[in-house]
Amino acid sequence: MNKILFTIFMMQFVCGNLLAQQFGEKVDRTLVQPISKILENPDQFFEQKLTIEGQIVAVCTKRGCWMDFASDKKFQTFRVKVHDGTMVFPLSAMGKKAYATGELQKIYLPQKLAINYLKHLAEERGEKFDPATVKGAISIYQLAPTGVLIE
Amino acid sequence: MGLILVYSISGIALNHINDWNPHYQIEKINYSLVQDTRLSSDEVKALFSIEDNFMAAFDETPTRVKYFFNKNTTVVVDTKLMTAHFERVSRRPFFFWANKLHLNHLKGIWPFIADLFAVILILLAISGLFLVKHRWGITPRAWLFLSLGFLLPLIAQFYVK
Repeated sequence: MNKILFTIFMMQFVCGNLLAQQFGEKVDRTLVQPISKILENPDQFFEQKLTIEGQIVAVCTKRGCWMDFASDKKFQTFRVKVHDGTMVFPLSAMGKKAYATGELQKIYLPQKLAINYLKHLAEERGEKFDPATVKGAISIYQLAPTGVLIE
Repeated sequence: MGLILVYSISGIALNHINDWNPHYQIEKINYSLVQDTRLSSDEVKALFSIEDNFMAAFDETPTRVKYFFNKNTTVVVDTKLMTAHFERVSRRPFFFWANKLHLNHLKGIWPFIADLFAVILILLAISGLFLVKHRWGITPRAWLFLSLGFLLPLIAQFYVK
């Protein structure tokens, strides 16, 4: 009996976090900002903690290092990205509601990289892409989270 | 022995992460639509004989909708391209679990077990050198393997950008 209890205890101790849906620090729901508002005027959200909420519509299948949140605005998504291994987002998160607290990051892409990035996005969506439509550098925005909660 | 196999096999799998997905296997089915109207979740379920429960849908574009079902199943229906793309992601047997151990994604007590295993390997490597006594301290064969073991990573560092 003791052996069984010990085994159950150890399994829970070792594997307990497999089922956990809280990653990193606790999310702060008092800091929730609509994604559309952030993307409309990102500059006003730099160097401050903020929380986003939304449905998870895509998850990195290789490293679990990013998730795309659906925005409150139609056809808009926002990426939450961590350094590999810091948090590993499960594929089972897709379609669920989640919160992420962290800081906004701006990634500047010179024209050449912007073309590659937009080409990749178009390929993913099975759409045609014309590099001539990219007239210059672009900036993309993402959230570097300190905490994520998947409901 | 078990840990060595787990770490080495998953190590090989993870080395080639750019060529394959070592954690998940992805079942894909493509379907050409005959009508360009938006599909209900029930119609999508029927199209691919999905038995899992519908969770949610997300409009990626005005003509492209992503449907989420339980058990990591998604379907993307594009009424402009007249296509439906089914994807079911499942954990790769053995590898998902072994990679999780290897990458130390399992928290709790596991990092300490991994540390202990690493320390044991270090002790084994060092003590193994002196098991067979020789007038040069360690045997010539041991010198050869010892040199190679240090030489290979040293050479490799010149290729690291």
